[in-house]
Amino acid sequence: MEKRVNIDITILKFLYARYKQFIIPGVVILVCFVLLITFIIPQLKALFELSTNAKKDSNRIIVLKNNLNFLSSLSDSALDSQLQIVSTALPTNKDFIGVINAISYAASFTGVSVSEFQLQIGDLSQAPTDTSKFSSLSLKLSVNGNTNDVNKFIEALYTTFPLSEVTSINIGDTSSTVEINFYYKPLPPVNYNDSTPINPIPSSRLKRINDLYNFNYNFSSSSESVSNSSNGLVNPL
Amino acid sequence: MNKDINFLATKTSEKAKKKKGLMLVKVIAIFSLIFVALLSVLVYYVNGKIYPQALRSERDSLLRRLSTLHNREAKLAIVSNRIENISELIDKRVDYSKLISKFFEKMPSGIKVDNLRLDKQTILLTISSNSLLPINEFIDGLIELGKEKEISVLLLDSLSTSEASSAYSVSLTANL
Repeated sequence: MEKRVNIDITILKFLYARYKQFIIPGVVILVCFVLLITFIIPQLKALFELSTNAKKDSNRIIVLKNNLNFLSSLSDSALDSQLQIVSTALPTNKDFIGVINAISYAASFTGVSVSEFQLQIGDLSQAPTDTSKFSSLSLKLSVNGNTNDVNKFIEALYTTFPLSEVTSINIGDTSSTVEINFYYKPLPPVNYNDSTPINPIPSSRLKRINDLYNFNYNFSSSSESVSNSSNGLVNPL
Repeated sequence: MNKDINFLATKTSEKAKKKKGLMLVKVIAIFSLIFVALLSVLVYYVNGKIYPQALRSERDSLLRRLSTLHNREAKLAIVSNRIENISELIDKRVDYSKLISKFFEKMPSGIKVDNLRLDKQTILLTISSNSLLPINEFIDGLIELGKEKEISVLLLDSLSTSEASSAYSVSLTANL
């Protein structure tokens, strides 16, 4: 059987008159309880997370300070010079003007003549995207000169920018054929991560950069003769 | 049957009970208020202690100063990347000019190089001479190169003589 409670205004008035002194303390308890549940307990929980973040930030500040000190100590001119030389040594795309300059320089330096050459430039409209491997421009040269001259030509190419590698040599009585790969490689994207320590270039690599200043290069990639002495570039190392 | 029913006494006891209950509720309310207030102050205090504003300010200041040096950082990253690649390239490429020079160092006078083919793995050499002695001396020199680990295998492919030019012709294959 369903029991029905009939609350009318008289009962409500009676209950109010009877318990009105309990209302204010009751509301206070309720508000305190709500505050505890909705604000204070989550804040207490967040304290643990905050503690972890504070530790992380402390470590991060050390890294940031070291990075800042290191970057501030670098010279812009030295960096620019290094950037220029490494970019000339290993271009980011098909630098066929640089390639022709290198051959021209090596030929004139060693006294050989290049009678004909095939340069496979490929598709210039598509920029290379794979930053993990080296790409190359393949070249087949007919070089007129004796064995010694051809050898000197190869030697000169090895110390001329852009960097190249001879893949095949066929030296005959009067003329020779040399196949060369001129390398290039796109730059990987530079990602800034403030939490990662910036490491200086190791001394072995700095020595390598230093060695590159003894190579033959032409930063402008113009048709002028290729020579490092004419650039007036000062080795910053 | 209970004859000790006293309505006045019950009313007083109920009032006392209500008063007691009210007192209890008030005490709980005051304690709740104090508890919540103290806990809030404590959380605020601990919050400031654990992760002080100075730490945040220092971090933000450092980040601001570093953002002005991003250009330098990018240049350094590019130089590092390029020099690694350049080193890899220079270290892996074979310097054929040095190898050819070594071959010619071992070549005595009286030998003419008719053909020299060289690729990443093999060297094919055709030489000619009027006498077998310099050819023998040259082959001895190449064996020395093998001992110096410059070449791994040396094969004499052919030895022929031409009556017209009265010269000996030798073809050699050396594996690198």
